Amino acid sequence: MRETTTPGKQESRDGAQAVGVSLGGLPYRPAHSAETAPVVLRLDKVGVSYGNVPAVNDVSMDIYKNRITALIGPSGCGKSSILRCLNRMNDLIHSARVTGSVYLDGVDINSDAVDPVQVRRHVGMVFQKPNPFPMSVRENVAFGPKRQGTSGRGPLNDIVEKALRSAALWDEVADKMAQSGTALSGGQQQRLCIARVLAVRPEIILMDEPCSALDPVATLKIEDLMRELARDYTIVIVTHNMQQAARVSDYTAFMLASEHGVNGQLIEYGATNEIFTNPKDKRTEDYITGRFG
Amino acid sequence: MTALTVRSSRNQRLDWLQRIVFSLTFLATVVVCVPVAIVAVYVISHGASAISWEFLFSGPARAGREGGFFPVIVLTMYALLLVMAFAVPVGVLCAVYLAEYARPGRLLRLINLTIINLAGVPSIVYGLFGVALFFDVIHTKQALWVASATLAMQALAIVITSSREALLAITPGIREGSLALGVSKLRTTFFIALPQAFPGIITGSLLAVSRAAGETAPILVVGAIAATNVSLRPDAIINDRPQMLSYELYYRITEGLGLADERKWGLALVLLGIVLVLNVSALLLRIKIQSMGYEKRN
Repeated sequence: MRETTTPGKQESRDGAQAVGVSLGGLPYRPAHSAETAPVVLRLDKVGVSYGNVPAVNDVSMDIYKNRITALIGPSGCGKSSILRCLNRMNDLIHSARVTGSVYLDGVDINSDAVDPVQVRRHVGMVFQKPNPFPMSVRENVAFGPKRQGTSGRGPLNDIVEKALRSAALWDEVADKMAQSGTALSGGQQQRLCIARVLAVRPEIILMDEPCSALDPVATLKIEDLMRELARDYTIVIVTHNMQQAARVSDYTAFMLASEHGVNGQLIEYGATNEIFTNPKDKRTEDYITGRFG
Repeated sequence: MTALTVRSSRNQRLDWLQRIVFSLTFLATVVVCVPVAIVAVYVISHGASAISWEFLFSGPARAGREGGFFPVIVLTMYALLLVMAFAVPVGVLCAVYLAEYARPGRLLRLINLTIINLAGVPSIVYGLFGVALFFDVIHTKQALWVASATLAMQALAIVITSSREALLAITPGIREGSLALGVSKLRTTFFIALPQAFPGIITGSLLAVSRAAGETAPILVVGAIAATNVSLRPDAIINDRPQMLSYELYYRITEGLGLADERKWGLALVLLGIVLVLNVSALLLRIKIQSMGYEKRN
């Protein structure tokens, strides 16, 4: 029925060819048999180490277009490290070393020939702590497009309004465009950060525990927004909150560190409802039923 | 659980200890503030009567016993502008490298330590170094430029340290937020990091310049050698060309010629005033920048 991380050897590559995406010579292996969406990101044996300490290794999985994929697992299992591999944010950590390949539309983004700045235009990121720039609401959203060459009040205003509407924030800030982004509430700040990412029109949005600094009401708003955004974007979210993964995601990947926060591994990956109702691995079941973590 | 006891002897002892420590910290603050206030009041009360339109805006007569110190004041301003022009761009760029680009490691720690030590080098050493470099190696005769460059070298350490601290104090998340939008590191530095650090950079730079305003030793060495190329002959310097305020003041105090005390205090007051204006403008600029946000940029 469902393929997990151990792919069937005889899996055909028809799926990959059907969507016209080269997947680095690897077989197409849907995480769910009924999945028809194309693969936009393919992780092949991805690992991260800091200094000489391996944090996570050998993660292989496919991320599907317009789906929400959740990475769950206890602290230190390497889920954020893996997330940051998807837009080369680990480049910014001097001690971090990334191995393996991440294919974005068939191109390995870890290759030397790829400019990480370009990668991040395709793969945007929202962080755990809302991090609006200390500028006005308008400038926060216009910042990315401006740096990428959009100019003129008219076009910028259109982009800003569209992004804020998509982030379900427009109604709340329409009359506060000149106010500082840092003066908004926590939940509004996080939606501002989402709007800021939307304004540069990425294909994929990474979210690193986007609700962990927010209250329950603001959290639900962000979750609703994520469902809304999944129509146009592919979302990968790291979350501590299993209920959140169950509520919003289509696919769930469960990760676990082997011993004391080193050597994190992907234990099980599949459709969210199956991971939560019928996990294949004992460790997944233990985690989901709250026996540890 | 035991009920709250009311003032056991141990509690009372702790209470006294707290009060003593608190008093000590308060006392230390008073010890710092009072002399500053006394100096300010003393200089103002002794020098204010000397300050006049003529004192500030006309040239000296009878070797400074009459007339004013306009040339000295203008030259001081000019020199301070030069110090700023030399020290701030180099210092800020250096800070950007250290805070944003340099790989953390032993070499970076060594560089940082060296810069901190630069701030502690006695100013007379800077003076001698400036003379050796500019007169003996580069062979320039422009005393003002040499003096300014020497002061700038000394100011660099403060400019670098304060700018670096201002850059490092920015929440790292804000930089990541910009980079995650596909904005390059260079643009992130220019449009996010530097504007954020701007108040700290301004404060540090003006502080460094106001310290340079009061510096005497380097100018003494540079000026003396520029004027005579052999030995210290203040007369020649004073009569041939105007000197910076701090040096003028030093010379007037030590010359032993009959310059009225009031005029010396007046000079001190003018110097104090320049430093005060620099510091207050640093403060105002900082408040102004913080209040306007960045929406008017671009």
